[in-house]
Amino acid sequence: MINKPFFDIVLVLLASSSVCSRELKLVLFQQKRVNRESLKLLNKLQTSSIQQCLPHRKNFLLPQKSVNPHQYQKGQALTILHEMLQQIFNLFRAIISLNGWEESHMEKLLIELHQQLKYLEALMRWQAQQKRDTLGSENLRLQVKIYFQRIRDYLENQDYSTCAWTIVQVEINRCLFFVFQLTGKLSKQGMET
Amino acid sequence: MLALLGATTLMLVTGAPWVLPAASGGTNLKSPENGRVCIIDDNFILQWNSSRESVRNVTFSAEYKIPGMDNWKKLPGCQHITSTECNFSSVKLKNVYEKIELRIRAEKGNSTSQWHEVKPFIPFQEAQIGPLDVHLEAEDKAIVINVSPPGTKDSIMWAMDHSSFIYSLVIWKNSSRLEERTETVYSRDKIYNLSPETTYCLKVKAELRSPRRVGFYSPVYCINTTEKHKVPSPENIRIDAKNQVYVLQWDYARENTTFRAQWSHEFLKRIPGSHSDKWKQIPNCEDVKTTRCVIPQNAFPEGIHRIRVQASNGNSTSFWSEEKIFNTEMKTVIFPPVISMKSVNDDSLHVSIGAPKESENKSVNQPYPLIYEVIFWENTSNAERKVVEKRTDVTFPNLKPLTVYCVKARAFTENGKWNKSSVFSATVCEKTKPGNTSKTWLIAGICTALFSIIVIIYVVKVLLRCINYVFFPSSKPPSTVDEYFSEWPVRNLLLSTSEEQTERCSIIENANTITVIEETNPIEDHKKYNSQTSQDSGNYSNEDENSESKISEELLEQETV
Repeated sequence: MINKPFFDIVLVLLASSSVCSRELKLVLFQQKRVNRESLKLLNKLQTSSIQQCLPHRKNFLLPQKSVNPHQYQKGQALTILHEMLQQIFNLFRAIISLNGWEESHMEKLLIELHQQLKYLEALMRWQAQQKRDTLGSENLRLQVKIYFQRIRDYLENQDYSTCAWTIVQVEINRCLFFVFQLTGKLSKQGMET
Repeated sequence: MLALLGATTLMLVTGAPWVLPAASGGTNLKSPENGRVCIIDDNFILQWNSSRESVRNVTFSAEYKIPGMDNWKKLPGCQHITSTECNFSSVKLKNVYEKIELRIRAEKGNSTSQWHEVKPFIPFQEAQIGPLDVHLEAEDKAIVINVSPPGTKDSIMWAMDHSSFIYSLVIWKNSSRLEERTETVYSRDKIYNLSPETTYCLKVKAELRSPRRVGFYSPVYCINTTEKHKVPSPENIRIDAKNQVYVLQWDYARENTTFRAQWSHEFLKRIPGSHSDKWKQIPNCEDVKTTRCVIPQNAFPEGIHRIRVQASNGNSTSFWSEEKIFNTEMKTVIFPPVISMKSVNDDSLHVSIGAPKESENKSVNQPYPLIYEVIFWENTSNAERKVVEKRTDVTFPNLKPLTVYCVKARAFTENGKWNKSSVFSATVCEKTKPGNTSKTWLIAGICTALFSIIVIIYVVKVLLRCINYVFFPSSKPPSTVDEYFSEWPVRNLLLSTSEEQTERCSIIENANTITVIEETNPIEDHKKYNSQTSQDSGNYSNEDENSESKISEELLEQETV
């Protein structure tokens, strides 16, 4: 016979993982909303303006290969997600201070991003409490930062022109697509463990 | 340590040439040791140890290399340094996330020592968060805190992290250090629940999450709260969503006061700086005399917001109340699930939960993850079984046979922050199937017996017919056959003649019917046309007359035929 304490431990473990998976489910749900707002914002752009901006395109080298979702643990994936969304938030809040942008739509995106960051931060706190190792996440965080640094440098070099913002917006949408995939995988992982 | 080891081995390997200049120039310059960097915010400091037997007038110079650079470059701020540290903050870096290499050597006159290479590092990873600059403003029961993010305004070190910092604050009454309170605040925030006319002291530090990096505490700042304001600020702000509106309420003891309420986006807190101009007046909550106001739901966009209320007695206005955070998701109405119950076998019931029926309301059709609370009881007793389920199928085993059980369920949102639940669904009751008793067997037995009786009757009938055919053949078959033979030709003849006759008749009949129809219809048509002749030209009626005459001619022809 297996003694009672063993079951207690198993129950506690199950409960804690279910808390996490519940949060993860919410994160996935919230990410859908973030992406939806981003797409709405992108739809606001005129096709003509996008065509006109095509010569300004640049490869920002989204670090999607180095941050392959399969390779990393939950903690690391969380770190990448948090950093990416945080940087997107920073970029868009810079845009909001500029004139000529659809403010209310940008606000909606920022609202959703803020909510998502709150969920992720709660998860990160939980993870810190569990003392899960987040080794190697520092390096991933840096890669994300470098990617966004490239975007910022590009904007600066282009004198923050409307075209540059358009290109960046398209790029961010691409990035969000990657984020969504990562969120899906994270939440799947969360359910399994 | 590694760098040190590397440096010493390098010195050992290159020992021979190192001796040479000493022999020729007479100077014996030793490389500096233990080179290290100390980065706080945007201050880059390089430190090293010089060898003990250092000669006078020795200076040190450093060079650096970053990815994409082929050659070493002189490190600005670190040339011909007499002390053992230098500040190279003015170095132009592409970014702070790439490896930087440094090397340093001693110099005297024309002779130089070997280079001592510092372990390559990534500035951002080495950087520490410096002490913060804090600005305070006192109210009677609160302190407004304004923390400048670490680094200078155009800091490159934290340029991408301004919004990522969290600030933790320790506050205490100056009179008693024991009662410390720790709070996590945004860069612009307010500390509430303080006493008036009291000196409070506080210190703040910044933190970065994951990988956790904690900064230095700011210096201790002290401030006196003001005397109690004549007009107190409203308290206990609460907001609730009710049938398509929000109801905002607060507590206030005094009479003859007017209130106004404002709202602002919560995400603004994440952005450093003042957002005092971003507060917006809440419709229906301006100059209200009651301690509540009803706000239409479209007053706020979807998301998390902050609300504050201010009281005014005509002459002066109170400080703003404590800010209340609320999420517009609270207005979401969750509808009860639809449940059905089936008895699977004699001792278990299967309950399936259908998704809550959503109304046409826009806010509701968002697919929040839901969990269900299922309450199950025996109809005659009060003992309930409660199950919280994520799945939409629940089976209740170990039940009594032939007993009525009832079930109801409600839906919850899977969110820890705001628990929303639907009302309970309608109660569904179901009787379990009878147990493994004789009854089932009885019913089954009766059924099989009935079935077998029917089968036997049929079989017997068939057998009887066969027996009848074989053993008691009918005596009259030839006569009947004869009858048939005799009748057939007559019938055929009759049939054929009648058919011919009817054919003839039909022509006449048809002709008659045609004439009848044709005769009646034109009259009607003619009447119609007559009524229309006032508008139409006469051609129509002429044509009609013509056609009528034609038809009559045709009829005549037919009649003659």
